[in-house]
Amino acid sequence: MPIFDMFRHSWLVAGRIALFYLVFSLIWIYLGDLMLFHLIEDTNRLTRWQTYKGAFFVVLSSTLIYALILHAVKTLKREQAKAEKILSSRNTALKQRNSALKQFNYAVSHELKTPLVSIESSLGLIHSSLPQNMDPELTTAIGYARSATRQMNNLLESLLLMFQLDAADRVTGATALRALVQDAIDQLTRGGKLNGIKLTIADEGLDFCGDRNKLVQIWLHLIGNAAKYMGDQKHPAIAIGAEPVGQDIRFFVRDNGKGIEMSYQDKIFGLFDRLDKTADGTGLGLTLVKRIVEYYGGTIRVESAGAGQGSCFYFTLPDALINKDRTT
Amino acid sequence: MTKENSRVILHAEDEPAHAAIVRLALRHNAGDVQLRQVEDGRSALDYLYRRGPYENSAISPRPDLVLLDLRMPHVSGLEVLAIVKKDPELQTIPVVVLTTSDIEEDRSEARACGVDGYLTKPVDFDKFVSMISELCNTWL
Repeated sequence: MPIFDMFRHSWLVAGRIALFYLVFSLIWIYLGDLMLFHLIEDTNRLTRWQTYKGAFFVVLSSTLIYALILHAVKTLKREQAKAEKILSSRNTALKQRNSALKQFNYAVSHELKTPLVSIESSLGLIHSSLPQNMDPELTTAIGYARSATRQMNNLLESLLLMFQLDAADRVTGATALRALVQDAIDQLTRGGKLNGIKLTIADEGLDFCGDRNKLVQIWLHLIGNAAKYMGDQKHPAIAIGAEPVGQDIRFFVRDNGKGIEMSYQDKIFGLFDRLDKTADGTGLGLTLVKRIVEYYGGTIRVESAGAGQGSCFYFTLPDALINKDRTT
Repeated sequence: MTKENSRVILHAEDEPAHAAIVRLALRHNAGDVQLRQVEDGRSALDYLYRRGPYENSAISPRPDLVLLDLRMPHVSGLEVLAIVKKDPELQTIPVVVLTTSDIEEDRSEARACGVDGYLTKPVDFDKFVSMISELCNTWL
């Protein structure tokens, strides 16, 4: 009997045993006494034989209890052994899957990246050696090829991050919200992605525990996206911060850029979904952000009044936040 | 033949395009540096121990810096690193790993072997070139 069925019917089994014991005991007492009254007339002998009968009953019921408990323990042990065997085989399967994932990570990290470095290096060498009067079409074509190589690399790195999400955190102690945001801003600034954009950071003194690299990716992609889809806004601005909402702390990245049409707002977190195919990007950024947010027990959504109205991403990170009560 | 006072870099790399970038970067940005390139870990060890074609110390001088790729035929970069860092004669030479692998296991293994630096090759020609120049400024 499967262990769950056994527990589901345990009250029934126990009830049956108790009822059987009750009926058997009553019949034993009644018939036993009746028989002794018929057979023995002397009161002293009758009392002695009733004591023997009682002692025999105690021995009999003890043997019965012993047999039942033994059976129950043996069944439990058998079911436990079965469950352990199933758990062990699942553990082995999980280890194999982890190993395959590790190999995939390695392949992405090294084997696929090595030829990309070779292609980009060779194209870079060719590009730097081209004479000044070269056909501009050729220069443009090399530019396209190099851009595609870098795009491929971004895609590989995003995929690698997605696969590494479920791996153990590299926790490096408490990290302040401002430090994470600043890290993302520094990376984007180095790539010239935030030129001319006014940034506002509302520092709420919040601290996080978790994998710094994973957490930075959230702001890196959200701020990067806000900057990328700024459109022809004359006064581009991005506001980053956190605010209390009920018992939770809600983070936001708000921009006054192109905005997102209502009909597309559900699509943007999908794998490889890009609303603007002409913009740089892999279509994995927001999917990655959503997965990181969910990894830390949070949710993410976007609000935008529509095209040209700017947009605001709201998200929570309950499992990564240390001092949740500081802003409440 | 080597020039006096010039610095020598031994670079072990099996990818010709990656080796070419290092050559180009050093030619343009690293001043008086002599680059010796080998295609795998075994040749790197032959060079360091002056075996076979590298017997002549005038042609194959002791390097001031060793750059190692991790995955190479015959003998890996990690094996070369471990041998160099265990050898009292060679362990003072700085060894920097230059690889495409960014996985933590490779980094920690290299650290455990006593690597002096660990750099990930960028998929960007200009960044790669400037990384090599900075590397020389730091270690030479």
